[in-house]
Formats: sequence, structure tokens, C-alpha cells
Amino acid sequence: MALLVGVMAATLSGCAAVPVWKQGQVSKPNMVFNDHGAFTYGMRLNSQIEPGSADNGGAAAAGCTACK
Amino acid sequence: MTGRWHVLSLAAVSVMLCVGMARMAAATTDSGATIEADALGCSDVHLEDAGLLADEATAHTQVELSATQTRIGIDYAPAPADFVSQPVYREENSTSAGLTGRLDTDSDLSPLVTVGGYRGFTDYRSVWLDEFYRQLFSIVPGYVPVTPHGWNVLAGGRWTYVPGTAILQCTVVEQGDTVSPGYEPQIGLPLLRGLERLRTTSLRISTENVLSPTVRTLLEGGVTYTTDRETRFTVQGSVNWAVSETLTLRTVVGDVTEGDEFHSVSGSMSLERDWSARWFAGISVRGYRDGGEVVDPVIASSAAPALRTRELAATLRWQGARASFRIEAGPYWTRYDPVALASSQYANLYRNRDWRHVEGAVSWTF
Repeated sequence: MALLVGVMAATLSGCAAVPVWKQGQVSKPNMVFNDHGAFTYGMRLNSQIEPGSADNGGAAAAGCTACK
Repeated sequence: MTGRWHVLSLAAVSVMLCVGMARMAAATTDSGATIEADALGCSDVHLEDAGLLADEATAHTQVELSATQTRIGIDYAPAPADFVSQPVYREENSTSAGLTGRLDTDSDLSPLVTVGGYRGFTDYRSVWLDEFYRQLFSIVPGYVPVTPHGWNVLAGGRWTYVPGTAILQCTVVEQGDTVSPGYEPQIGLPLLRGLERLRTTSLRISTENVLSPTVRTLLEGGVTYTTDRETRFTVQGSVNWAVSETLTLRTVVGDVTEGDEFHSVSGSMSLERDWSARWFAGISVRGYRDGGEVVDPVIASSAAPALRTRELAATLRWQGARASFRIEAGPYWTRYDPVALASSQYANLYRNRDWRHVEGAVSWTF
């Protein structure tokens, strides 16, 4: 986790602008991050099984609402 | 504090929707629709999910409406030592809906609001446990059947801090859930019920960056507070790398910690080749591991033991001028550590399973 936080900090502070005319490759549909549609990646239903994959902390993430 | 956020969020969404509708009436520039369907099944559990998303955009606003229907079917099988319960097939359907509005201002800041709700069970484990307690305690004083439901409100903003290259998004989510609780018998007294109502507050921060002409990244972090639970910290990093003109490699690494009680890590890689950025074919692998939710193995508990999963998938995508589609399929394996002897009544819930999954999506832009 510390490594990821470090990478996040470095990315935020060290980002240099890439000119739009050089962004052809990173603008392809499979290079973009999407929440819906044909170019999403990763199975949605696995959040029902993996407690750490749910993207929120409520009932869906708990899964274990009946845990003692 | 949470009440204030709730009121502020509702006020913000009202303003947003009014502004959005007024602007849409003035000039609609783009609209679209997406249909998605997923199915995941094994010998005794079947999960299906179908969703519809419609969006409308003008020069300054975006509004999205989503609706999802989920079906959960389980062949409930009690533990061999349970002489009270009976095997039964149980099916549950749940429905959820959400409305998102975003205002694209002339500045680099874009406010964002989402409201949503659901009714029904959100996962097969809660269905299994509900059936377990129903069969054991439904005639015992203190048992009250519950239909799970919940709501959520999200408010936040997006800041384009390097135009065309870097975006920072920050959101606050407030969520309320009513869940089917667990029960514990007491001698001479009504059943002891577990928590039925949960409140969750989350803060999420993400930043998307174009680091070079061939690398795009997304880094996400989150802090979540849920009633009677330890604080959950979530970190996820994604890197998309255009290896060549036609090959793309996507990598995701995630880490979740919840106090000393829960820790999970996951990672995935997808390699995709495209033909003229129209047809895309790829394979992906993914792994997940956690340390389980069991705190004390001597005490009977429905908490999950340690879990490891593996996933393999093949995907085909097509991108046209105003439409696109995706179809994906592959196996998925879940492997649990042995259930503690004190919790053997949950052995069939936490048994190893070999799953098959199929997903599809179609999108149109009008």
C-alpha cells in the first residue's frame, strides 16, 4: 500500500503535459478507463464473492452482515 | 456530520438536475445507451446481472440514468450435522437504479452528483445466510424476516489540473443499508439479532494521467467508515501501456485493509491486439487473495475463512462509428481455507467452487 501511495504522490507531482497531437495511442478505446460499455475490464460479479473487491464499504462489501 | 452531507448532497442534486434539464431542453448534443449482461455460475450457485444505462449530454451537462436487475439462485444445502434444516432451491431478485448529473463548467472544475437505491439481496452469501437462519429460527420469538434495501448519495468534483493530460476526482459517498441480520439463540429469551441497519461514509480520490504518448494511468484511493466496522482503506493502481501500434497491456493492482481484521490484495493483466482500432481480441488473467474475516477460530462464526481466486478470460470487442460491443467468457476458481470446526455449519457456504462466467455489452450513440 505504501508503494502505491508513493506512486500516486509521484504521479501527481511529476506529471508533464503530453501534447494532444501525441495522444493518438492513449486515446484508443482500449487505452481509456470506462465504467460502462464495450471497453470495460474485469468481472463485475466477483464483488459478490471477494470481500476485498467490492468498491464500497456497505452491505455489498460486508457480505458478512450476519457475522458474529 | 453525515446528516449534513446528506442534505447538502440532495440540495446539490436538485440544483444539478434543474440546470441539466434546462440546458438539455436548449440543445442536446449527444445521447447514448448501453445494455450489459453478466452471468456467473457453478454447480450450486447461479448469478445473473442485467443493466441498462442511458446518458444525455449537452455542451455543459451530462445526465446518466442506470437500472440493474440481479438474480441470485442457490441450491441451499445444510451441513451434514444439521438435522433441522432441509436442502432447498432459493431464488432472489434485486433491483437497483441510479441517476448521475455532471456540470461541465467553463473552468477546469466539474461538479458531480449521483443518487441511487436498491431493493433485494446484494450477494449470494447473504441469501445463503438468510436461508440458514430462516430454517433454524423462523418459529422462534425474535425472528423478523427482512427485505434488504438501501440508498446512496455521491457528491464530488473533477478537476482537470493539466488540460488534456491529468484529472483529479474527489467524491464523498453516504450510504444507508438495511440488511438481513444474523441471529443467536439465548436460553429463556428471544433471539439475539445482529445489526440490521448500516451507515457508510466513504471518501474517494482518484487521478488519471497521460504519462507519455503510450502510457495512461489511473490511481485510486479510498477511506470507508461503516457502522460497527474498522475503517477500510482501499488503494488501486491501473496502468495502460500501448506496447506497439496494435498491442495494449493493461495492469491493475489493488490492496484493501480493514484494521487488523481484514487484508486483501489483487492483481490482473490484460493483453489485447487490435485490427485498425475496430476489432479487439484479448486474454486476461486475474488473481485475488485475502486473509479471511475470522477473528477467533474457536468461536462459531459465519465470517469467511481466507480466500484465493483465479480468473482467466478471453474477450472480443468491436468499435464502430456509433456503436460498440463486447463479449467475454472464461473460468473462475474460488478456493477457501478449511472452515474452523466450531463453524462447520457454514462449510457448504465456504466450499471451493469452479465457476464459468459470460459477459456481454452493447452501446449506441445517437
